[in-house]
Amino acid sequence: MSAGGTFDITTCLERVRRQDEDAARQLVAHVHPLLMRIVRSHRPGRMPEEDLLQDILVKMFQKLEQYEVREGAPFEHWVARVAVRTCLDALRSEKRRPETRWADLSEGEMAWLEFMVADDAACPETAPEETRVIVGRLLEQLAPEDRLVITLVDLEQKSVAEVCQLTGWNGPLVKIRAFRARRKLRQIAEKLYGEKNL
Amino acid sequence: MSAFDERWKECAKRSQEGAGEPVPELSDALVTRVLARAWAKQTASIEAVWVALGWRTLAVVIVVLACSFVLETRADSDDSQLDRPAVEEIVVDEFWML
Repeated sequence: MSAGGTFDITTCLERVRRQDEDAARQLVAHVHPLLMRIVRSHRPGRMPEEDLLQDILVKMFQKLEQYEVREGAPFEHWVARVAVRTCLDALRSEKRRPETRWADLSEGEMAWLEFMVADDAACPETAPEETRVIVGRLLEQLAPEDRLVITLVDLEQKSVAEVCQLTGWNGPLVKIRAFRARRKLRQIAEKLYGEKNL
Repeated sequence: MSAFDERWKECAKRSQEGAGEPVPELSDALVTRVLARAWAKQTASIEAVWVALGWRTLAVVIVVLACSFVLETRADSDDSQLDRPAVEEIVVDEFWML
């Protein structure tokens, strides 16, 4: 910390590069809230939060030499990119994606699924937690890249430029992936809703 | 945008309401593990590369230099036996170089 109480990232990074443990702890404390938000958004269902956070932090320290202090490229953007890519690797390494059956859903989740698929269904009034569960169930069944793009664009409401910066993909690729991912999401939702009458 | 897309976005928007759960406290043990993994690996990798490759690389470089020296010496001594290329070969070569 500097005298004014603000975090001096440049000085801290210089000290971390010299393997100063206190500086490293300060750096982790500084990026922890940001990384936790990313971990919670993109974590594979079966991987504990702390394990994924640990992997991201190890990568951050190992790749620190690649980060250059530049105008308009804050350290937090670079760390967020490392974190998103690590989450994507974790999603890719999942051996099997969890499957959901109609019978597994709660009443609220069924109502949301009906709202998405059936033309005449009204928008359900359920607690956000229940909505989060059905959204999570649908996203779990998407391919890792599709899940990532949908989470960033539709859930976190990030712009295409922000998604490009976080993922390293170009603008048209982000738009095409989001479009295709929503189409797959629709197929998954329709298939699940189709089990209602079985 | 299709009806599904609009309804999905509504669902996604609702799912984010009050989603900001408090961030758990950072544990000292986690940071210790991270630093042990990150820094130990860096040091080990540089040492490991030197141990694994240092002497072998040196040996390969010596062998390559020795071979080059022998071949160069032989080539110098054989220069006198080289035949001058035929004129037509030189012309064809020059033509293809154009």
